Amino acid sequence: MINSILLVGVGGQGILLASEILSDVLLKQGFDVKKNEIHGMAQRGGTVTSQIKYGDVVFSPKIAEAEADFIVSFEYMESVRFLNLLKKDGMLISSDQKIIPTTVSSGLGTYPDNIEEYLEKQNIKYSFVNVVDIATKLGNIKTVNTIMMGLLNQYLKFKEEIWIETIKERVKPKFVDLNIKAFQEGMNYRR
Amino acid sequence: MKVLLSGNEAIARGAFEANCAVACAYPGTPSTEILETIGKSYPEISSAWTANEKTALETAYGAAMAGGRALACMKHVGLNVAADPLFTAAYNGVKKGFVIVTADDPSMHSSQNEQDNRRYGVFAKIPVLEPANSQEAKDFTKLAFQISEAFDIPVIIRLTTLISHTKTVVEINDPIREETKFEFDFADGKFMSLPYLARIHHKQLEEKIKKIREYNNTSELNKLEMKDTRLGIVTSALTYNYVKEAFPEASILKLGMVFPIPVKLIEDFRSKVEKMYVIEELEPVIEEQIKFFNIKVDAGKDKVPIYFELSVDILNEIFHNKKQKTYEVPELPSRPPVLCPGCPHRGVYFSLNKSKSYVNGDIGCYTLGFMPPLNAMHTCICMGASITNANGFEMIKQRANDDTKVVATIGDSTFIHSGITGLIDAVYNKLNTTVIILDNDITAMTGHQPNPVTGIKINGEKTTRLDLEKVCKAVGVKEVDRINPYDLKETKEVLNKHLNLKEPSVIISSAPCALLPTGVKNPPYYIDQDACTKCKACLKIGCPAIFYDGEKVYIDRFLCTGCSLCAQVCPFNAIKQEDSNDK
Repeated sequence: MINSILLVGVGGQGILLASEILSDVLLKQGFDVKKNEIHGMAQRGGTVTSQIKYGDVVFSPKIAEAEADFIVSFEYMESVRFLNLLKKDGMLISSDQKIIPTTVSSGLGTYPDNIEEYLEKQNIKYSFVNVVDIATKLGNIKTVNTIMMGLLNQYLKFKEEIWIETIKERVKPKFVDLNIKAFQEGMNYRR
Repeated sequence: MKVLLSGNEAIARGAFEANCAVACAYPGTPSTEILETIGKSYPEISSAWTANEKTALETAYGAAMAGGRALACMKHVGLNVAADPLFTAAYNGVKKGFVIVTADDPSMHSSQNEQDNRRYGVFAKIPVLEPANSQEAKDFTKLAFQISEAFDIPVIIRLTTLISHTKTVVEINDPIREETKFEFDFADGKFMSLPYLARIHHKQLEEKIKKIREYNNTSELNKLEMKDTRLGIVTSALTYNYVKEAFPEASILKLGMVFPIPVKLIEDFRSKVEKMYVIEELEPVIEEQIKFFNIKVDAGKDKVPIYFELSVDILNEIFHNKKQKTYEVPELPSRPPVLCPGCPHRGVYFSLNKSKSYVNGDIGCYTLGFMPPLNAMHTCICMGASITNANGFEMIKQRANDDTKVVATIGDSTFIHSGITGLIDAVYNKLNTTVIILDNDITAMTGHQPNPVTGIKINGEKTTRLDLEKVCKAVGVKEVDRINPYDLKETKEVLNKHLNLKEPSVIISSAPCALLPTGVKNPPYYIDQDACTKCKACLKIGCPAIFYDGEKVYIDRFLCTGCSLCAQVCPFNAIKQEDSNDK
């Protein structure tokens, strides 16, 4: 049995660190893990994805069409860019933060505002969370990525201790406590 | 111990475990992290960023002649730059193991082409190993050094983006560490390439390839998985993983060394299966060799696409006519990469756009000057081609007696890589080429590797700083000016001056990359909504910190670096700076 998770967002949102933590957590539970990341030319501003597959033996590191159990999106519009990868009955977890791309700012496109409608029409299970609000209350916008991991773990239900141990290994010492708290905020978040 | 390593990290680990002495590279996606990891994690290896891929390969080769195992790493197009010494190294052989890693980029995630560098192995007659995951990347690196020494030949390891950048589980082993001794044996002109010696070396090379082909028949690099004998598939590298999922019942011969192919092993496999497919990404490198030896292939490139990355989905569609039913994806505006907020290149490209010049561009973050709304680049061919292409434009202008404005833009690292020679050409041939060196103090696009302009070595040690101004003057350029690219007035004035000069000239735009600790960091700007007329002049600089939501224009104060460019272009003085103690 192979499971797969797609993380998607915008360069600079901390997706790569989130995927590092997630794949370490999976490795610690004894899974075979493959994790890849695609980031465009420049360091910032473009769409960034990271694909994580895990199970007994993982062959292809690429998520096939209709294979992803979860899409975890750090941005409102990006949540639907890779819907073709979501498994039937898969779950979309997304931040409701809107980051306007320069293509929209310069009049080359319109930012969609009816994504929920679109998802409901296709009967896709989804949850949009005001993650920026949670992060702002924690005092650091950069905790968005660990909050997202907390939200994801509401479904994965892996032991909290393993996440905390991994956050300690992966995050700079002075941000460890903040990130543990952020993870817990995500995990305990209720609508 | 088991850890998750990317293919690139695994190559670095393999080099460390194999007692590699010297490693050289020029950064290039997707290969960069190999040397970066060595520099950061394995100080036991003498590592060096070099001026370009040719100097990397030649330096590593020199080390392998002089008694230490050596590694040279580059992206696929980098091997074009290093191709000259590559071919001769194949003729002359090695003293200690010499391994060249090429990281190819199928689907062109961040490259100008998707050339299949396995062809370099066939062309130069150098064995090519292709790992399918990080464990193999590490194991094959160690084996590559052994093969290199056993057969007196350089060895190529060929990665692709998804092998380089995918983390998979790797078992870590202890390294062998031996003292390096300077041992150089030049008997029989082994490392000379005079024609009469080259004739001898070529014959020897052909013999070596025959022996390696024999070795490959029984080498541990290849893996035979016999299952249902109605279908057998010959494959390699990442594609093996797709084949495993798309053909779970088929027998598979996975090649670890794809040149020279193990002919006997393949003949044997062919005799055991009813049909044999060859499935590989990009070029039919394995297939053509198999057909050369008259082994029957039932499906290959006649079915499998010759361009872009393969996937399980593609194989399922081609061979099983199976297409997954998926959710629909709506039409969305694209989110292309953009120059960062505060990027020092922005002011230069904005000014170039205004000057209505043709711009010969080059390879780096600054290639994004092509994108709207800056739209200020018209050619981009390869590393260093900006200046030489501009030289060609100038030669036509001279003949046609035309005064169209033409400018070459090139980054500091790219200028050192292969721009200097073009500038020498411009001076020597009396061309009016105008060059802007975008000096941001670092090799930025590949993730901030230091270079000679930075004046810092890979290990953080300080070294002599290359003085761009002196270099330009030394090759004979008389007009060299330095500008602050955050000052649009100055940029425009100096640019106009240079565009009217009747001699080769250089403008050095100097400001550190905005992402560096030394980058621009001033109090953020905001838009005074009462003064803003929504003329959108500020949006023309293409700054990702400035947004227009259909009603108002605003600046994200967390993204804004306070570079002031938007305030300089606002005709209504509606863009103001927060007090310095606000942020």
